[in-house]
Amino acid sequence: MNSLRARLLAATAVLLLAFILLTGLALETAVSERANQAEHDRLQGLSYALLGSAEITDDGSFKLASRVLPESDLTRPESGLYALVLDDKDEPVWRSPSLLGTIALEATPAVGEWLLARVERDGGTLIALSFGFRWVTDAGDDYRYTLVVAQDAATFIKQMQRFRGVLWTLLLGSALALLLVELLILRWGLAPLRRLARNLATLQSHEQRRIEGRYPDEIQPLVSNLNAMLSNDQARLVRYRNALGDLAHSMKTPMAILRGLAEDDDMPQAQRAPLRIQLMRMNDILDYQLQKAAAAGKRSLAPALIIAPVAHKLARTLTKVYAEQNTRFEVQIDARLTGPIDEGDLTELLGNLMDNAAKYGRGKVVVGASNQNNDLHLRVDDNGDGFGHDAQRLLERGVRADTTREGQGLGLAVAAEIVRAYTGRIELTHGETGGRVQVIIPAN
Amino acid sequence: MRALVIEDDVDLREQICVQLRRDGFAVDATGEGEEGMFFALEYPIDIAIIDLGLPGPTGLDIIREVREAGLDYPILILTARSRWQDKVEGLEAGADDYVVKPFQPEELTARIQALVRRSRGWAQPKLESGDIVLDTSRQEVFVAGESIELTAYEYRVLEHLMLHAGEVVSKTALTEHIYEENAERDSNVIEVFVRRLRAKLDPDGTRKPIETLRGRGYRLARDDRSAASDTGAASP
Repeated sequence: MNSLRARLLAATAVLLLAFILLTGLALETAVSERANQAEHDRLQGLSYALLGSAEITDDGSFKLASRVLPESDLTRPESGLYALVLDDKDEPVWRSPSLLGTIALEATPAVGEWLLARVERDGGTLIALSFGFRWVTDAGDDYRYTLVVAQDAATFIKQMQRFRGVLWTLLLGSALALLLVELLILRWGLAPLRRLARNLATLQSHEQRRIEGRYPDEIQPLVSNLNAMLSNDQARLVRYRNALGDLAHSMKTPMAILRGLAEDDDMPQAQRAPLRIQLMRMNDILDYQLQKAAAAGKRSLAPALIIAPVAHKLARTLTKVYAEQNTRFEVQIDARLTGPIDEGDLTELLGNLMDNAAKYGRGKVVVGASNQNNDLHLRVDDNGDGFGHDAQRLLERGVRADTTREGQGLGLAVAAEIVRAYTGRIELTHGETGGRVQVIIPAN
Repeated sequence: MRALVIEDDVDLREQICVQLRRDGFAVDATGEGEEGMFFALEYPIDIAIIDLGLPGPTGLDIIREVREAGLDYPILILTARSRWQDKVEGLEAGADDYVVKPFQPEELTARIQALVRRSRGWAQPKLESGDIVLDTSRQEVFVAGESIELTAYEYRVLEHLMLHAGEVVSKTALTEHIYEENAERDSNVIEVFVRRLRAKLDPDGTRKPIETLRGRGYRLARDDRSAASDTGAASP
């Protein structure tokens, strides 16, 4: 259960269910007790009325005139309301005209005791209130009777069932309604979090450098901190690169002067070549290490970059640089294609690869890119003779500090370092026209 | 050819100036962005060599201003930063090529001469007009296959006329492009240079390669076979 909404919803649902169950049970118990009590009271009233109209004849038999019966239902056969008087041997001595058989009690109440019970009769259920009493005649005879007043329970049960139905329907209905409202509340309440998640996602798929919009007080600090982090990250990278650039500037201008001295006529011929070579070494090491250090590499929450403009810019630049050789640079990249790479890094990567292709090709360089499973695939084709073993080794090991080779392959080594900073892959292969460098920058 | 060098390091600037003068350029130089901007906008320059890391207005600012003012002479960037981002920025601002420090002097020369040549529509390093051939890479002049010796100023005049072959070049323009800003000038000297050039290029006076258009200037016949417009290369 990884979603906040699912958690809150589940917790609410369990709570609500328990509450509804307990409420329903309490209500049902209370109402059914109340109904039983009412039934008891009614039957007791009826009993008193019957007892009031009863008399014992001189011969000792129990008598109750039909016309004095308090309820007309007692006179209608099988009406559902019955009365019965049993003697001390549980033999019926009187029955209401409505009662055609008898009512079999499970227990006989003691004298003066009321007993409410359910009794099965002809497939139906009766609610029977029995009352044990003694009748002492004027003559001093003492009779023991049991009065049973019974009511068909079908109506009662039906009523209770209807009540239960209505009760539970209403409770479950309101529970569902509450859950629905809860769902809406959660949607509304968690909307800022969803918006934040969406903004974070667009941060990585668009060229955007901050999370926009106002957020609730609970989230705003998080958003502000994220924005601060994002802009610091970017600013630090810019600062860092500027510092490296300044370092390059302050080192290389003196080196340029020394390089000029190597051509000076006053300089002994024997010392010129070593000076040139050492300066070249210094320059290669400096270039390689500075460019390696300036690579941003993989960064979390980094914005996705639109690839084509960088490639076009480089193509325009290199067309000027290689105007003398009339080299053509072709960019075959969808204008909307984006990739998980920093603009500076892509510029260095493609710049080095395209420059290298122009240097060792025969006048035509083609740059392509595609997105495969969110990984960025780049390829740079030239129409030269392809790559030798030395170039491949450069990719694997990078440039050693004691390299003395003149610029050659340095671009490839720098490109390989940048690709390494993205845990990507770089391969030298053969394309349709000549050498091909293939680079994969993974999304994750 | 007149070159402008904007480089804030005195020693490097001096080296470049010496080298350019040796290559036959009239050179104006400064280490100040402010002054560089003024020179770049006001002087009749054939090529500018601009360091990107300048105090005051940066090299990029100067390049943008120059291009905004509609000036289209070639600009070569000198940069210590080997990052492509810096090179791209410079070339997108309007520069035509770059040289990364530290550079080989020959490379600087080759790039400068190629830029100047291409800006005048010449595709090859050898400029030709009739039987006159001027090899910009070696600063040699041949007439009908014979090498001839020229002084520095004579070479500058001939190079300028050949780069503008087919066009009328005024004495003032010639003066401006072969002399540095603070040099003492005398437009009569131009006439002397042209007279000497004619004597060397055409000793028997039969071909008359340099035409004089009275009151307007000089013109060298254009030999279209070697012009860049034929080979399809465009000036940058």
